[in-house]
Amino acid sequence: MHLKKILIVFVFMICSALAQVNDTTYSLTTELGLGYSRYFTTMDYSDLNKNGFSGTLRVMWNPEHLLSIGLESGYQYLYSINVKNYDTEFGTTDFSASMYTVPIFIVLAMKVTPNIKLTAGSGMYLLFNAGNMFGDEIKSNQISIGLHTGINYTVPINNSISLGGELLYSYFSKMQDQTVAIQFLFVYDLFRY
Amino acid sequence: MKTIIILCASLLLIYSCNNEVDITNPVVDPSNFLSETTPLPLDSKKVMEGVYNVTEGNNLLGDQVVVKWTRDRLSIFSGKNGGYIILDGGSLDSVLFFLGYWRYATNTETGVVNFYISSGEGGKKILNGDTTATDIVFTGVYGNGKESANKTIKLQYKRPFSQAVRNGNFYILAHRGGGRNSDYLGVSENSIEMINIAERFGSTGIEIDARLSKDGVPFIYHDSDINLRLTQKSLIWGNIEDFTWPQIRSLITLRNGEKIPKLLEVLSFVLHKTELRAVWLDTKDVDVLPAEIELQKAIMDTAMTMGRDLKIAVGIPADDILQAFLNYPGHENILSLCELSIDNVRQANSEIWAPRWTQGTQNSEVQQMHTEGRMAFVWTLDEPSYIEEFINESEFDGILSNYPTIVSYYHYIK
Repeated sequence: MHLKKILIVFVFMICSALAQVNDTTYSLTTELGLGYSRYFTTMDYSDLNKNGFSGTLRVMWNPEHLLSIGLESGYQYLYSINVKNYDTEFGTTDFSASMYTVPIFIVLAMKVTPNIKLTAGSGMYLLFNAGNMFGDEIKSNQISIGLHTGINYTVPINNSISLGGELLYSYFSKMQDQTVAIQFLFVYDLFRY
Repeated sequence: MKTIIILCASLLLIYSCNNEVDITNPVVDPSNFLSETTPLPLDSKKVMEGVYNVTEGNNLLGDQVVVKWTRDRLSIFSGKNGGYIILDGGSLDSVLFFLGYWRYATNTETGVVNFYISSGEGGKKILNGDTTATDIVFTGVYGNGKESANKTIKLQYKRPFSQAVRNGNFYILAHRGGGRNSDYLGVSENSIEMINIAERFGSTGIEIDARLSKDGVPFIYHDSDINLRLTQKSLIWGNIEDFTWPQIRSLITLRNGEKIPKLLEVLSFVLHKTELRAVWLDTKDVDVLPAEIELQKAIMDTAMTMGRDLKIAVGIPADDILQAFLNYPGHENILSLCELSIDNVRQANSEIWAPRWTQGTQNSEVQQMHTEGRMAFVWTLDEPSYIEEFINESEFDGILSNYPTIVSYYHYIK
């Protein structure tokens, strides 16, 4: 369902961008986002910590069109859990597990006003699992296809720096779970041509 | 205009994707009526088996069906949409009662079905174990989905199974322990619960997928990773063989709520709780091979002391596994099943050759295998028309299918 909504936004943005031209110079910008992430899952563990750090780093190419395109990576905390005296058929154990992800995405962004941009991205999430159970380390990783969409608001501070904020929704197809992140955004123009 | 067309086409594509399936499981015997009946004796069960004409209710089952007792249920297999009926039964006075459900194997249609066999229409003869009973009539009603049973259905005894079927040693092998998750059977593939019902689908053997945990415990699971096709959401993700057995067992739950079983549990269950005659161990990773062979030997030794006819074949599906098998001391004497070439079968001295069905009936190769005292199974055959063709035109000793009910129908009407 979420996948469908994101794809609709994606298609809408592409079609709108194709239809509009804006007379500006080309530029390459880097966008650093740092903030808080909340994980949404149907997993039923009362001790599950779903709040954590979110960070994104994008390099965007901005042509004369309203639509810009770029690459994104970063870090997003998903969950962690620590359970004392966890009962299993093998006996009682202390148990911990956590998951974070590193996205490798292609991102499209479209200016809807001079300060507001809609973003949508797709690619893969590298999922990293860690923890401990019965004294044995839990360590594994996996790749998930994913999507995200967001909205950001930035204000120029000078010719090359803008500051603002971003609300980002992400979907992980492997787990069919989502996160919502709110981030402080730092945008720096690497160069214009 | 072009943009609008692209947009509309994209939206249509997006909304055409819907993988949610709603299957309504019928409620069988809500009043617990069968608890008031007496279980049927073994001699009676054999009397009922055979091919029956469908004289009413052809919409559901077509023109003829196979009636076959499995370990604990009466199964009816039809040629229409791979339809089958699973029934529990008992007698009250000299009337036989059966309650259960029907299902089409090739889609998700299902419903409740009830039968009785009156005293004068074979009930009394069946209970007496009279093997000359040829006037058996099943009279019943069935419903669709959640509706109550209200449509008439009647089965009239036509003939016993042919001599070839009765004297043959054909193997009907169920994929992934009995069936796949994608067929919505109510239990998960590669679970003890699935194996427990595999015989109701007519299976006389099963194929299961063996893997090895990080700490060296062989278990059964198909895919290399933890995923929602096979499991419920869990706290751990990744390559399943990266985890220890206590972690796998404690933290992962299969799709329908079962726990992942150890290979030892599965083989013990097959030996002690079922009448299955064959287990095809699909070796998913080369590392599991030694542990698989040790367990195979232990369980087959026990089976032999019990006088139980049970073949457990170590699967050789790929070249790396063949190489590891050939390096295993005494491999010539290990019961194995090789999916590779005939030369590889001879090299490994495999008792069973198992080619893919797409290679055709290969009758001359199968005959060669028979001449050498080997058997030949074909996999994984699901299309009803091909199942019929392989049953009637090939000389294979067994068929592996996701739809053993369809294989059963075409085999028993032969």
